[in-house]
Amino acid sequence: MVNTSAPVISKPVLARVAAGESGAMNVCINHYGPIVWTLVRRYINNSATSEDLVQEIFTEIWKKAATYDPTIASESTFIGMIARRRAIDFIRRQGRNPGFEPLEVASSFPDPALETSSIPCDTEALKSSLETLPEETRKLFHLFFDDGFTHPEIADKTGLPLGTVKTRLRRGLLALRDHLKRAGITNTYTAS
Amino acid sequence: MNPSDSENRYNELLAGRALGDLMLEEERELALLGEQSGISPDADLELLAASLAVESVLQRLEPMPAGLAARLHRKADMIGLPGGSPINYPQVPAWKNILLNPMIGWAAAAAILILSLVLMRTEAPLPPELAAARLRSQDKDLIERNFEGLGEFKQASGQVLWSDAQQRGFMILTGIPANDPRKAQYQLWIVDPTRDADAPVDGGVFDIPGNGSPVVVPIAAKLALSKPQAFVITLEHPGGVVKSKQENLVALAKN
Repeated sequence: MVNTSAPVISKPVLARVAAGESGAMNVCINHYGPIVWTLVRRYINNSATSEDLVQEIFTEIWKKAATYDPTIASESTFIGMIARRRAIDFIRRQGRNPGFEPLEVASSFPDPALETSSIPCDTEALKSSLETLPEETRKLFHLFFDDGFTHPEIADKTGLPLGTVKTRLRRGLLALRDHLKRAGITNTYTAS
Repeated sequence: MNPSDSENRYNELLAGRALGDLMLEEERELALLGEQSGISPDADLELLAASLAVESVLQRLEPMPAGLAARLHRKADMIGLPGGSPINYPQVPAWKNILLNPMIGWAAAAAILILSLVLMRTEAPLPPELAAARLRSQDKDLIERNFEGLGEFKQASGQVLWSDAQQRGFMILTGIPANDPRKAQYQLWIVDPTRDADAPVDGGVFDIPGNGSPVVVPIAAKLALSKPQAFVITLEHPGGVVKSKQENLVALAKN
């Protein structure tokens, strides 16, 4: 599941965006645009809605660039976190996912929380930690993260009850975090 | 539920939030458990989920649609983000226009001056380019058209954004020659299909500075508009005119 050949940006750009460097935001859009777009499309089918959301995400990236800490996460992970937050909140607000209920609150994510992260890891660490998960959980992770299936779709495909899918994914994520903490790995999330 | 159970449940809900699968009652439960425990959630699980998701999409990246990429870059330029050309936004010399234009009475001049001062006070903290970005994000039915240069102004180009709901809008213009306000000024005209087609609405007088940078110009429509069909820029006498002879057409944006 983990790809170690992520594209490497020649020079980190978020600090340059935060510093107001000329051209930095355009570099950011060019480099991370496909990542944000692909992520958003995994959550939202409608192309026009996805485009609106991507524009909102880049506005947020611009606003939050100064909060980015390279010792905690890679730029792509930081940007991916912002993109996922926005996409998840959008789905919740729309109530489009039949498994969820619409919610009127602004966001389910406290903000900011990045600086409190305590388990930095790199791509290789992530890969080796994934291998410690039970085979069944790894399969669920693959269906969820790689194939982009929703929980109900995964339940359909695997024949597992929806509640079981949900619980195993949650506990798998917790187990992964705990393994990384125990390993005491000191690099940052992903290498791109 | 003993403390250990509470902590386990709290962590499970945090994982659910990171995975995006919390239901309404779980959301409430998470908030409650957070309050009770006094623990501030960290970003570990969110970063971990984001890391897994990003690693996955890197293997199957899709390019952004060209139109979206172009809009993002324009937006970056427009809201003054680094990377865009520097943007100038001249003051619309409304009060000066009024004083120079004999067709408008002093009472109207005073009323518009007061209105201008009120608008300046309420909008002063928000530069036009930020207001334009906000307009884009606020109004899903925003009208956006591209300008094309006309006649000797072939180099002119740009965009117009208009919100019927807010009765506000902006132009972003490039390639229009600088004017000497003592000799001539640019004026915007707006064709509103609900009004007389022969009498477009005055959209305000403005100047173009001489450094060739993109210029953001707020629209100062003198009447309420409804789904405008066309925006026309002309070059007029200083202070603008009440009715244009359309002798110097500069640019046109239409449906």
